[in-house]
Amino acid sequence: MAVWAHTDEAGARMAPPEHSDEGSGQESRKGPAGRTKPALSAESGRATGGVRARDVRFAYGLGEPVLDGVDLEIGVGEVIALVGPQGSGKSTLLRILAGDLSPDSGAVELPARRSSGGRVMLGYAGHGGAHFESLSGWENAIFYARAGGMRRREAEGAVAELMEILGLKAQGHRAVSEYTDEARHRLLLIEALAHRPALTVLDEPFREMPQKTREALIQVLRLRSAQRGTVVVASGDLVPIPELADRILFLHQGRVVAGGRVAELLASVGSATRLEVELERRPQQLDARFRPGITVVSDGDPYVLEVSRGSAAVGEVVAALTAAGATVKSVAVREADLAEVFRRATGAELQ
Amino acid sequence: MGVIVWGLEWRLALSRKRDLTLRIVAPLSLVLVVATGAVPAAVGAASYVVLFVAFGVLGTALRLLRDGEEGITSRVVRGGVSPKSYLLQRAAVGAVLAFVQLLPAALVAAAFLNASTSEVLIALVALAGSLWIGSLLGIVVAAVGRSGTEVTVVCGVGLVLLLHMSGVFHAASPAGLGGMLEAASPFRALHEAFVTMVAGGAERGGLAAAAWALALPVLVGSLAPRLTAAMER
Repeated sequence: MAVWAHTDEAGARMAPPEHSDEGSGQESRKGPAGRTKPALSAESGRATGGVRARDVRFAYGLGEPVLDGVDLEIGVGEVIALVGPQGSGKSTLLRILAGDLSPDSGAVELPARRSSGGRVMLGYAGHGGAHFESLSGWENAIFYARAGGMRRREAEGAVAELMEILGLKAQGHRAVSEYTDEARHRLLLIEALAHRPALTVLDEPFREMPQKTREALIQVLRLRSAQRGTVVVASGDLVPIPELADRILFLHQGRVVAGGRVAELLASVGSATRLEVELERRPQQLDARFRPGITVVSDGDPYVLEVSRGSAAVGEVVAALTAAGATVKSVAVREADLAEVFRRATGAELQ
Repeated sequence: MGVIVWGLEWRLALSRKRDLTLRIVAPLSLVLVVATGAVPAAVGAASYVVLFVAFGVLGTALRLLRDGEEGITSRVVRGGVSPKSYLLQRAAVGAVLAFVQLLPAALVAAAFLNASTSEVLIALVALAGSLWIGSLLGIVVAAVGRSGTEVTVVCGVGLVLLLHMSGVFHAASPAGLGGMLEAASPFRALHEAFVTMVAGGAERGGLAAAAWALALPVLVGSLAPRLTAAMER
């Protein structure tokens, strides 16, 4: 049975975010396949933007599980990146955190729906959020900021600032129907962020974003974190993650396969570059001799070495293997980066 | 937060100028066709009631259906607007908008029926009340129907029954249970307002319409979370 908790500021039980006025939190809900989800209940929990999920499982309809026992705990003010290839369950997990989907089983504990000041605690930008097409981006964003509990003037200030930062100011007063997909995506981010939620949940926020805007968004999210706002970001792209995230959780086939602080994860793969050598032909006894700084990690298939000098050692490795009687088919260079963490945990490529 | 949905819906309506114009021109054209035709005045009056009520119910129902399908409803509700506030504000905007759009048609209909000023004023009050009731019924229809076709069918069948109950298709009020149902029906006041223009007599049905106009918002408000959830496709 799925157990949900939305905790108010005193840690009392609250209703789930979806379709409840100030409801009981006990109503049945339906997933996208129309299945009746287990009744929602709540248990005592935290009063702020923290999130806790335990053994969360979810499948769309009668399909394979998309989430298969996810556990996570996100502290107040943390910035968490969920990283994984397409189909790993990132977006589904975010939709559960946003109250858009109910888990089939497991427990999810989320912040209260509103703060005592009437502010909506969640800001969510998923894929393809609907807008009021005939209105301007500015009018759309102001509406959601006000729905989130802001007064008009406050909403105008917050939206103007975000439009400037995310490069949408010039198009702000044009109808959304004229927007490109990229502009719509930025508007969605503005709508999720403007009311300064305690928990911000963003799915692929850096998609198709120029470097300058990307850096500005990272600054906004880091600032939110400094103000005790919790941020959860899903990304298939690792480039912005080290600068953004306090912690990374790698998802693969619906499970968290690795996680930790960026420095810890990098340390776990060491500083050496790995070379994965595919051999077309190898002698019975492969006895290649390498200089110091090159260590054989595995002499199976692929033949794996760690080198301290990066890809510069490729030529030397190939020469040594050839001298030992092997024929090299290909060499893959694996830098000691976050992608390598995922690769070692799963044996699969991130992208 | 107040009535932000009210303001938003007005901006949306005003931004769709073509839609706005069509919704004024279409009922006006239909009324003109009936008014200038050779139908008996009583039949004309009944036609106007059917047209106005269907316009009110379908206007709200189809817009809500579209917003549910596009994910607008779920976004707005998750964005912080309570389902109750959302639906009641939508009903209010829908009713006022329909009233403004139907006003030229209603005035033309009254003019062709040679109505007095007081009869016109009573008819407009009855029209406003009926559109409010119709808009609230449109919310329920939007939650029940799963497509534009379904909404139209549900609306058509439901309205025929309600309008029949309201005496629109009767020459004289029935006795017994039929008469009681007619007395309690939501659109009798509107029908009576137009019948009075044709045949004179006292306008009736106002009390029942008022009761519906007060009771339906309570019902829709209490069911609002379920209704908005049902609108998600």
